[in-house]
Amino acid sequence: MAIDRFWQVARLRLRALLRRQSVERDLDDEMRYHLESEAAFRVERGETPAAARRGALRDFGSVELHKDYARDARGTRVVDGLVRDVRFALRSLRRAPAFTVVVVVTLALGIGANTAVFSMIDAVLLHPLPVAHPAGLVSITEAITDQLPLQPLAYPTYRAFAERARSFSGIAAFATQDAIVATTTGAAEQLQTAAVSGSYFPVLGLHAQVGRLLAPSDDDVPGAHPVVVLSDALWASAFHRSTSAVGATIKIGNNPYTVVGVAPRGFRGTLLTQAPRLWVPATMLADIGLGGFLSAANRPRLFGLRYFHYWRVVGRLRDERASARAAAELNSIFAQEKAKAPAKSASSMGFAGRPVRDPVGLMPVNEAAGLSDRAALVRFVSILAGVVALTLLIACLNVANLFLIRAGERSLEIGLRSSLGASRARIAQQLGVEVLLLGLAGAVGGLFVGQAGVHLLASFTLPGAISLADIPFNLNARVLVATMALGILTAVVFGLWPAIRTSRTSLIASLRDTQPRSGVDTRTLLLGGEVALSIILLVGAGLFVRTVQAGLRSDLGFDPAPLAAVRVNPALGGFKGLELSNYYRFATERAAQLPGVSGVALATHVPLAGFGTLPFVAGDKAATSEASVDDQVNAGWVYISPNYFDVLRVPIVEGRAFTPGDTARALSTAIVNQAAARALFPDGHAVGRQMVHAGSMRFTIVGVVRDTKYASVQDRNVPMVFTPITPDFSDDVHFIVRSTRPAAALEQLRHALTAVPPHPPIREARLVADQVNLTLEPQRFGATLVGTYSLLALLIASVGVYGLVAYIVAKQQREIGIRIALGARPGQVIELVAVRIALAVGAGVLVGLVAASLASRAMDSFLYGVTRTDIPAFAAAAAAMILAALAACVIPARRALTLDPVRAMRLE
Amino acid sequence: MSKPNDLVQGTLGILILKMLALESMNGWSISHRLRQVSADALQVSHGSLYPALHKLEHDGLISAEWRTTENNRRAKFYSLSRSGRSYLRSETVDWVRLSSAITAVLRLSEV
Repeated sequence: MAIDRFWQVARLRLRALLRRQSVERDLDDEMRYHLESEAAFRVERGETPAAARRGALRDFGSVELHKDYARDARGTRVVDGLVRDVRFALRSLRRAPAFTVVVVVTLALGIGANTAVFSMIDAVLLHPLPVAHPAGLVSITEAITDQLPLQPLAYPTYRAFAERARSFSGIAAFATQDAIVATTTGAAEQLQTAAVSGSYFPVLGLHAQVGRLLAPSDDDVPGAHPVVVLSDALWASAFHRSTSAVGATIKIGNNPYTVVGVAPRGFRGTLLTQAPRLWVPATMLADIGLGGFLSAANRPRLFGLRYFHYWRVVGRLRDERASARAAAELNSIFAQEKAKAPAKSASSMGFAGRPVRDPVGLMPVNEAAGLSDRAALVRFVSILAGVVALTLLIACLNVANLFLIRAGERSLEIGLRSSLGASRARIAQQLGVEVLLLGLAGAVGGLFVGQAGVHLLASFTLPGAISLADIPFNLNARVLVATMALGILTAVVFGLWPAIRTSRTSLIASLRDTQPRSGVDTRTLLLGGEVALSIILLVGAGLFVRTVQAGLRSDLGFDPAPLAAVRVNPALGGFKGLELSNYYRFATERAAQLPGVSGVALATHVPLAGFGTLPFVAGDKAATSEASVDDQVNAGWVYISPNYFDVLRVPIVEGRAFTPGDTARALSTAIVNQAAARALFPDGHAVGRQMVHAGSMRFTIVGVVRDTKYASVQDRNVPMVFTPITPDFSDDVHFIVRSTRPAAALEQLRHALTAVPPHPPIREARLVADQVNLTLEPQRFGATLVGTYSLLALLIASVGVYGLVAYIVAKQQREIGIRIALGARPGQVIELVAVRIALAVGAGVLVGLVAASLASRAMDSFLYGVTRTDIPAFAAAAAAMILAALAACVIPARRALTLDPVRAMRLE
Repeated sequence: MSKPNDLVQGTLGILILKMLALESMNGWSISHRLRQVSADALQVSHGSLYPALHKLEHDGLISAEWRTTENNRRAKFYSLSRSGRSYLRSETVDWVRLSSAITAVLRLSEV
């Protein structure tokens, strides 16, 4: 095709598409010119003007037909038709605003909610890592005992693996902990810092965006390489992304470090719940200020400790598919190492449980995620996934029903069009366009709803104290495409199927069809389905709400309301010994002088904040032999100041509280709660007896306190062991104050604790009462999310009820009119309409209640204080549904009652 | 409904091109002239003329412009484009070859 010809063709096609009106006008002009010329020619030949005109027209034939052929020649017929269909669809949708709005909003909510929640689930469970070839990366863990699976490794174990495992191209270790960091520009702040082996960045396949990352040569001699790699976030906040950051000096735990580079943007370590802001060589771990984990004597031996399970290890497999063989190799290396060293039993090291065979395990690095209880997390997000999927299903059912009802209302119009010569394909195309428009609008709306949903989700917390605010995630493109496709597919299937069916009906049939016939059953069925699914959601929401209520009402054993707690760690600033005990003394004095404060206590744990447990054995059993695992009592271990039980108002039921004398002799006396006393000494008396931890730590029990809830609101009688906090205690400590105005006291306490040297930064500050809410956070999340969705479902189902009632009333107008004219009472008229609705709603409610009692099984482990067949929750769900359905009936039913019989008859 | 098909498919196009090769014309003149030169033997239905014209235009074989006629009317005038000219040439050769072959065959059967 010559180039000028190509341009002409392209120009004409474009013009035909874009300037349709002017093209049509040209066509009109051309035809008119032809007719006039022909007429003029005939007049010249002697015909009268009128006859000439008629002749010309007769000769020419149908002008419209010619225009149509000319349009065909333009080759834009299909697009033209589409444009016309879109206009027509927009017009007809504008005429049915309620229908349009409800369909679009329903789809948008279904699509948006699903996208947001599934994007969150994707981010949490799959946790995609911004590293090279993440599929080849595995996390290497050790099961210390059967009760302690998936634990980090000891450093010597890591070294043995790194040096001898052939199945891996590289193995790296890292440990995260908080450190006090002072950049040149900013004030000292507490930042999460990771100590990583030299192999860490090479194994992950990362490259610096500025400078360099850490290399094996940075990690050869302990304490020798004070270098640091910054995260993108820290680089931005402390150095404003200036390249001069490389070579700058920052202080970590009072020691100077040289910045060598910046990690790639978006890299926040490999753990889901942690986001280190800076990375130092592993051999600098002791230098950055390890807290109370290690005694001073152990610190130099840090890298030789065989039972210091502190290092998380990742490896890159040479062959992604050979992970079983790699695990076997690691286990054999592990066994060889163990044979070299003198054997120590797990229980003598203070670990609960029995040893296991082949303790070393591999899992995909994104699944490791640093979660102690992944199963609970999976269970919980499965519930959420089920809820939003149900919502989408309800939305789809509702859209289907609305389309069916609309098709019924339009059967006359469609019959008329088909009798006027529109082909079935033509009608289907036109309706298809309408349906597609609705689907697209719903999808676009879903995008906005999803975006809003992502923001809302960020304020919630998942089980395992995973705050969603800490996990950056956005709408997932794959999820979005999938949900949009589902929504549009629903619209197309349920929008087109009834439309095609109606287009088959003849005009006569559609004119005659005043009585709803087949298809009505489908509508009733769909409505019943909607109702049943809504009931499941309502019951789920009810159970979560009842759990939160029960949790808030539950007897904790103490009153959290007047208590405020602030956590600090003065040892992180490099303080030791006397400096530390001075800090505790002065800080306590200051706190005690705050207005409204009536007591100040110290403790390593705030009640209800959650903690791990450690095994204890009754002293007499420990003496007899290597204590068996069955004798172990796993108890929470809290270090407290002597006045702790005073401040919390927890009564000592037997024996005495700690005295300053106990405090001086560290780790020789203990107080236990009733649960621990019962578990350790079934014969009754605990005071004066001994218990042993880790084979050699022996405690004399001096008192028994009443049971209180400690780990969470849900726990029942968790054994607790309390030992005195030593004057130079060097780990995280909570200052707990009792105050008449706890909220104000919390603020004042923050200031008081930072005012005393070494001015430790506040690690955490909270009202203990808030902690009650916090432990119920996942349930609250569930209640909010499921509650919102169940209300949505209720609304959607009500719209469904309204639509169906309105449809029936419209279809049966004549019959109703006749009956009213014949003197039917209102009750009889309502009966005419109500039977089918009542059937649909009633059956839906019943089926829904049964299904809910089965579905609630999945929620069992998250319920507290209610059973999963909680009668009030089920009754409330049924009542809400029935009330909503009744409310939805009112308007169309009133219309039926006030129907003017004469007008109704005339309508036909 | 099928399209009017009163001339051998495709031949109307060649006739129009030939006509326009002599001078540019509007639609009515083309139909008029066709009747004249063929002594009314080729009665082109208008139903096929305009689609054919528009098809040729959209295929780039002829180009169109709006001109004012002597009696001050707006009319669409078609003229042959460069590619239309070469197309006409090759089509004419084909047509002559085909029609003479058919004529020869028809003569044969007369004997």
